[in-house]
Amino acid sequence: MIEGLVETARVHAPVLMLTTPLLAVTLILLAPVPRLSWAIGVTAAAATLLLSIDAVVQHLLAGAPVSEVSSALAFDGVGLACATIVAAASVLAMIVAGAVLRQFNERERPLSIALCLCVCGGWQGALAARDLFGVFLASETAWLAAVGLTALARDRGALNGALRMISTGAFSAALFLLGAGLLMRGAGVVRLSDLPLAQIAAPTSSAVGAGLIIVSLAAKAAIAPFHVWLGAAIGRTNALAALLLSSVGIVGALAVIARFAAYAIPAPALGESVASFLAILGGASVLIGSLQAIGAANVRRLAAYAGIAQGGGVLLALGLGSPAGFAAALLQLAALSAAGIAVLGGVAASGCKPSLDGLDGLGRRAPLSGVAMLVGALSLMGAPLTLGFLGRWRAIEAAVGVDLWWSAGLIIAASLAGAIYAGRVVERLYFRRAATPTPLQHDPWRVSMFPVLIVSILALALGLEPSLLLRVAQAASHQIAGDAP
Amino acid sequence: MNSPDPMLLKAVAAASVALVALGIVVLLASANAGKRLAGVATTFLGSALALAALRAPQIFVTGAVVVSFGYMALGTLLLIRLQEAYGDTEIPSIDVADDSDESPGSAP
Repeated sequence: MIEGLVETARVHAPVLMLTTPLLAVTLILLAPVPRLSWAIGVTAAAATLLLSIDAVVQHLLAGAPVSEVSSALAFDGVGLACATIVAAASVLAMIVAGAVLRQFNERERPLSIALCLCVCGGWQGALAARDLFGVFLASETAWLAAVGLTALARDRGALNGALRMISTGAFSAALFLLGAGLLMRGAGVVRLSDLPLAQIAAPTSSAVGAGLIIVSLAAKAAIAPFHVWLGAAIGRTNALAALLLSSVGIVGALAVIARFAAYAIPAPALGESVASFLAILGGASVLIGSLQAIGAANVRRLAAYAGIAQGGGVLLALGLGSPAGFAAALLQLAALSAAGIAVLGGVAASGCKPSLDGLDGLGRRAPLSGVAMLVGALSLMGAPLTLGFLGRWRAIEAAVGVDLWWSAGLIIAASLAGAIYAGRVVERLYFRRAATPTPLQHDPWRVSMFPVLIVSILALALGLEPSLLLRVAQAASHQIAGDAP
Repeated sequence: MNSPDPMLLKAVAAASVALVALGIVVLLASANAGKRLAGVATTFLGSALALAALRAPQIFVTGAVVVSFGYMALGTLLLIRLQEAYGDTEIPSIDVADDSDESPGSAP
């Protein structure tokens, strides 16, 4: 009987990955006790992660075919790998939420957990949706939940960030709708999996449609120059929203771009224009994000702008259009998510001021938070033996493999810029003394910050022994390149 | 069922693109949060019309309208909270208040 239940859960994994957070939200709203809500949230996120890991083992590593039981949801290679990254980031962020819940009013704590689950579930849904309508609905659900979570902060400045998110969201939604309409009209397909084989009657309008969809998702992923909401939202909101936006929200949107590109690039009439557009957008984002990160004086904004540059790197890798490029993009996504949790989680764990001078001497005052931030910063700059290095190295290899030297050059430039801005963080942590040290908080719930340290260890361990991660990334990119076209 | 007049479809498509463009300009350029919210509504209205003109599936058009209500509801709540927190919904004065809230040297 148990085997039967497990098999049923496996077959219906995409549906369960959406209904589990939804059930948890229902329970949280029925019993709005802060710590119970947190436990329910962590359990639901962990269950979702287990389902996605099992699906990765079954379909990507063991090569079992995907069962098509739902007409709306299904896994594919890139979608499944990305969903696992998002699920892992979600469970870590949910555990960390236990330590930062005190930043909310008593009544708001269960609601904040419920909103976190909606963000995570929304992006999971967008990664499993089979058609453009499902992607639209799921990504908008995640975005609106993220706006609500951002606005829950005590700092009134977060309301300004939430307002910018509403404006950006409407801009993004309108472009997605226009793009989807043009693509459906031009290519005659609704399902993503039909795109690579579609007989495209109107290539120009289809390419414009695909471009609009990419711009729409790029706005949600804070890809430059569509990142106007990012500084105000992450810079002024609470620690939980900042952590979730950077490690789940932005990564989720980038993952949906990767999945869409995996279907659009193999389409003969679309592939070249989509790949070129992704590369141009990625290049612009690398340059703008790096410059803004160098000029940032607030560690949260620094991490956010560094994320823009990293996101640009992901798009550059996708723009290569090869399976190796897709595998490199997946590695960079994992690195981006880990670095976000390590740096922003380190700030939250130490309870220091988010301004850069708040980091002065933090490595000695809060050694564990300091180590987490150090590893996060090293990964951001792409230092050897970190996950960030692995992603960039693979991207450079993939770029050289298709003779796109300018793309490889931009990725190297991003690393050099990373050495400047992430180097400032390391210098502040270990080579300065605080003029007026901020007293660190001693809350017993700080113990739930342990995932921040785990992420740091993982970012190093996977950099040192990346074979499993590489197998998953290669299997995911091969499935698209091998099956979809 | 009769197919729609192609000229009518083109007119609706042109009107929808104009509405989307107008909405985006208001979203980006308006100095008042309430007007930005009106820009949100205009943008969604334009994109729903565009979907209809492009003869997208009905569920897509309905979904666009439903999501637009979500944006309007959340935006209206935000407008109320902005008025309560800042006593104003003019973006420039909100930005000035935010700048003064942040301690010197902490803004990028």
